[in-house]
Amino acid sequence: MTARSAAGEAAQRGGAGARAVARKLAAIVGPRNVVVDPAELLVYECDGLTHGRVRPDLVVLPGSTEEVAAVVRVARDASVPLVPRGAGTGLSGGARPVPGCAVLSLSRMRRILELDLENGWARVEPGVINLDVTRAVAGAGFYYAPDPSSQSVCSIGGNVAENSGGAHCLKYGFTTNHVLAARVVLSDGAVVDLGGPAPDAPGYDLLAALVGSEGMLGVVTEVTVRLLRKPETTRTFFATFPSTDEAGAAVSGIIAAGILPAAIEMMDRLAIVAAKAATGLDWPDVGAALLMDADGPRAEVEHVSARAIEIARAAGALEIRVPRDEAERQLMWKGRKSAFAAVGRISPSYLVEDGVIPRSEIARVLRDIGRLAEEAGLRVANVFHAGDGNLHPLVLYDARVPGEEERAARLGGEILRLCIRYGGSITGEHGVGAEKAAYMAEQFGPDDLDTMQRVRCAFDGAALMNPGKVFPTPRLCGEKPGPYRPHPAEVAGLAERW
Amino acid sequence: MTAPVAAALADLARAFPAERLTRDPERLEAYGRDESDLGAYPPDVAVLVESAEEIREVFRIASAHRVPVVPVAARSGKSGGVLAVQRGIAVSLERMNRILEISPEDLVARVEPGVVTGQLQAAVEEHGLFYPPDPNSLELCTIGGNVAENAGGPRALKYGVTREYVLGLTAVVPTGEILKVGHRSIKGVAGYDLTGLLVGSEGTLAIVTEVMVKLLPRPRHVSTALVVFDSVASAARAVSRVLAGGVIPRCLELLDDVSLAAAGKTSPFRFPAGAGAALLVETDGNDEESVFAEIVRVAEIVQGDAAGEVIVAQNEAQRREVWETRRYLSVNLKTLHPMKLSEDVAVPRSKIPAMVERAKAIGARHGLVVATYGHAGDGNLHCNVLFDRAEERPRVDLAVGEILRAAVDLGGTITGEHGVGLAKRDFLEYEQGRELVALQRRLKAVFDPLGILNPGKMFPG
Ligand SMILES: Cc1cc2nc3c(=O)[nH]c(=O)nc-3n(C[C@H](O)[C@H](O)[C@H](O)COP(=O)(O)OP(=O)(O)OC[C@H]3O[C@@H](n4cnc5c(N)ncnc54)[C@H](O)[C@@H]3O)c2cc1C
Ligand SMILES: Cc1cc2nc3c(=O)[nH]c(=O)nc-3n(C[C@H](O)[C@H](O)[C@H](O)COP(=O)(O)OP(=O)(O)OC[C@H]3O[C@@H](n4cnc5c(N)ncnc54)[C@H](O)[C@@H]3O)c2cc1C
Repeated sequence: MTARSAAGEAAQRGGAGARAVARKLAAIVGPRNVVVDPAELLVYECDGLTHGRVRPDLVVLPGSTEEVAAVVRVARDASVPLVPRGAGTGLSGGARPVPGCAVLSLSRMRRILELDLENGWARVEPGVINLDVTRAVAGAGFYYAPDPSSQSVCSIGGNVAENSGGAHCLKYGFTTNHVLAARVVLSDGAVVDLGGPAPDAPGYDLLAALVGSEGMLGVVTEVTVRLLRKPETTRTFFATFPSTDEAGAAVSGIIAAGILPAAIEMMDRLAIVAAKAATGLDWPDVGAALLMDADGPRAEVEHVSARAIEIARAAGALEIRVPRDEAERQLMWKGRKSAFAAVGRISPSYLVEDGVIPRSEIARVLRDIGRLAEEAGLRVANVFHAGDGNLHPLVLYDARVPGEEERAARLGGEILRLCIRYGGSITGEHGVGAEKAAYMAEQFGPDDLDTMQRVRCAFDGAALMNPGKVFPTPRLCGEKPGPYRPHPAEVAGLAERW
Repeated sequence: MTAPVAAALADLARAFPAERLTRDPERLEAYGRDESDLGAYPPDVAVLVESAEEIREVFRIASAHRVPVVPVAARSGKSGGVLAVQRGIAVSLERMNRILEISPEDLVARVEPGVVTGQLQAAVEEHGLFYPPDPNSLELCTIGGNVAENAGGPRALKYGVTREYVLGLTAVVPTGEILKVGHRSIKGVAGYDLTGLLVGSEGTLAIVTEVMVKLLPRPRHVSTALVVFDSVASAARAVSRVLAGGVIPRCLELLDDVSLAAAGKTSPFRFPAGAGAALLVETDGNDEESVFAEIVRVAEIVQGDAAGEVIVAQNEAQRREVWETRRYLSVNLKTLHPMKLSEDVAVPRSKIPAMVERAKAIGARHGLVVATYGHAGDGNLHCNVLFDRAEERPRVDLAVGEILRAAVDLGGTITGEHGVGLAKRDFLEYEQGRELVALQRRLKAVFDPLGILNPGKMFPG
């Protein structure tokens, strides 16, 4: 939905905008924690996706679950839309404001509340930075597994809302696999605890629905995350290939041999060039490279990496480099992790796409992407989590050249369609947000989208939580779907929907 | 028979061939019973469906006449999920039992819901692959039933429960929509996670007609050990030590003294007199030496707490013997007392000894013996209240209620893996509170506005 229709939705509800309740909010959180000054509001106009800025009416920064609940009740009573915000590093416009809204920032809630190493969990506030969880327990030999590349800045609450991933998903899963419980303020101000200590809490798995719901089902005010023991050892190698075909075959071969790497990342020629330019690494100019981590007990890891290296060679690897020490290993990973930003060195502007395909199709899809790029007259760099088929095509363009930005956006869209065609998804970890809502109807049928809307209605009947995100044609609850398609039972006058 | 049911039957007879409708009382009686010991609640009719479209047709007819619909699979459920408490139409998935695809390249399998879990496991193992969830009922229960109950099993400690392996689903909702949610890739975060929401929904939101599961490479080596302790407390201490020691065995199964007494009747192992508990431990991996090294490491870690030697299975035959000790437990308990009601709770790991103690004490207060065993690594315990005569049942039910509340009071939950169903619906609010139950009812209402799908389950009244 466009910003305008979100505003329309708010107006339809009869809301006057958040400014009208500023004083009430200040009474809850204290005047210092309500931001209305236009200069200070500037940073809240967008998240990590910097185009399409919208100024919120105000920003409210509660300090506790009780304050969040009180803020939510005030907003509900005045029909003010709320946009939750963590660290604002999201890449799909999930925390982008809508006109008249209050941004609800969780950044003051950053305490680690409880550590229980015996049972392997930590209970934290949503504003806690991802890496700080690991920092708090590393001394005792534990860590928090989900590691988005933004882990030193993004918040746990944002991770829960986006179901964030990282480099180690193939073996360790995503945020959803590491969240044991969450305290949530619902749109009517009720506070509920979802999940629990058992692997399978009774009743509906509302925690599963919450994780990845992009701030639309409630405000997360506490999260219990699983902590893992640090693996005994990690072995890394870097392998170069003539092209992404051989590199893709190596990935398939490694998995087919029964190896579950902790991480296996691929870079294509352009990404390697960029990473070298940024870091000064002495990587050769080749068509593709893989960086693989194996972790676990020492004997197992040695066995596994030796096997994987053999397979990479058989698939056509040109060169295999094994880091001599931890410093060199870190350097290799730095090359990989800096690849995104590094593309800035070889192109004035670029778009970061995020799509998923089944792993077995990597080589084919990369070739298709190359073809599409050529047709569009643009360059695409690929650096991605190969083990789980999560592509991050970086579409390079020059905004100063008329029409190029639009061409880049179109190419990005074509790449997403390609992902859908191959049975994947339009987003592997960055979420739909404001950015990709238009593509939802291409990945999902109307039945699926309707059902998702109904879930939203069960949580948030007034549709005040982060409105305008995810759904291509959002509706008020109870409103009939776009072009209305009656169920056969309804036609026969035998059943009604709601 | 009520008029709406008669009308629905007439419609069904028009829509389905006669051989796919069952009205035979004896067979209906079987469709209305599971492993919950809650008695028989037969449906009015059972429809043997073959496709999502047929299920849609059943929903259409059921909506028209406001007749309940209950999905039925292998009926191994332990919480009464299939019981037709308000009668109506049973939708049996038994004919939808094909494995549609196994893809070693993408590490996925696509199956119909009626596939028996053990058969899927055997089929993927032929490709060197592994489907980890292993409820002890795997030889009869189905993937659809596992998805509906989010079933666990001994290996859940290392590999997680069913939810972690379901990538995508096709499902029919009572209003007729056919959902195709999830993806073939292991990743994908577009939209709400309806797949996650449907897993564990106990057949009350939708009927699942196809499941895409994630597979793993099969670990090539497994090592198994049995350790005896003089008390549950020392066994629980050993569990914590093992996990704190950085080893994640694939199973850590606990048996208490009563369970051991029962197991000893057929087990080839001689448990020392007065043994208070035992742990069954298993490690797995690809390198034979390191798998063995891990079990040895476990043996070292637990030695201090153990009473006697650690028995490490030396070959496959011994491994099977160790497992039979555990698998036949349910049957063997009946040699102590002919009847039992088994409860499924989970508590934080550190509360295992307290839970076992409390369950025993509760039993004793009611003059009953309680045997506890389960997946200790996850804190998932099965407390079995043993008894001799049906007349004792009211006392048994009282004890069970107290056990469930004790689990909640210890920071745990009323069901670790068997689901709420009919058996525990009155306890859901005790654990979760009014608001959370209200939210779930709202969710139920948006999926099933007429309340025709598996009514009476999960929520009281
Ligand atoms: C350089 C860079 C690298 C990145 N790498 C990765 C990566 O490897 N993997 C990956 O998955 N992502 C990555 N991201 C994306 C981003 O960091 C993640 O999506 C992250 O989870 C967002 O967290 P945040 O705290 O910044 O949330 P925000 O951007 O503030 O918010 C994101 C969404 O969550 C909602 N939200 C935030 N907090 C709450 C709450 N407490 N309750 C309810 N809803 C809430 C917001 O409304 C919004 O919809 C990267 C981003 C950058 C800039
Ligand atoms: C000896 C024994 C050992 C057991 N061990 C374990 C164990 O270790 N771990 C564990 O978790 N459980 C265990 N169980 C419980 C039981 O086996 C599981 O709950 C299993 O998942 C039920 O599968 P089923 O096919 O028998 O389903 P059923 O009992 O037929 O049905 C269970 C529920 O699922 C619903 N349902 C079935 N199929 C569908 C479908 N396609 N779509 C929607 N809803 C559907 C039904 O309506 C019902 O509510 C055990 C049971 C026994 C008897």
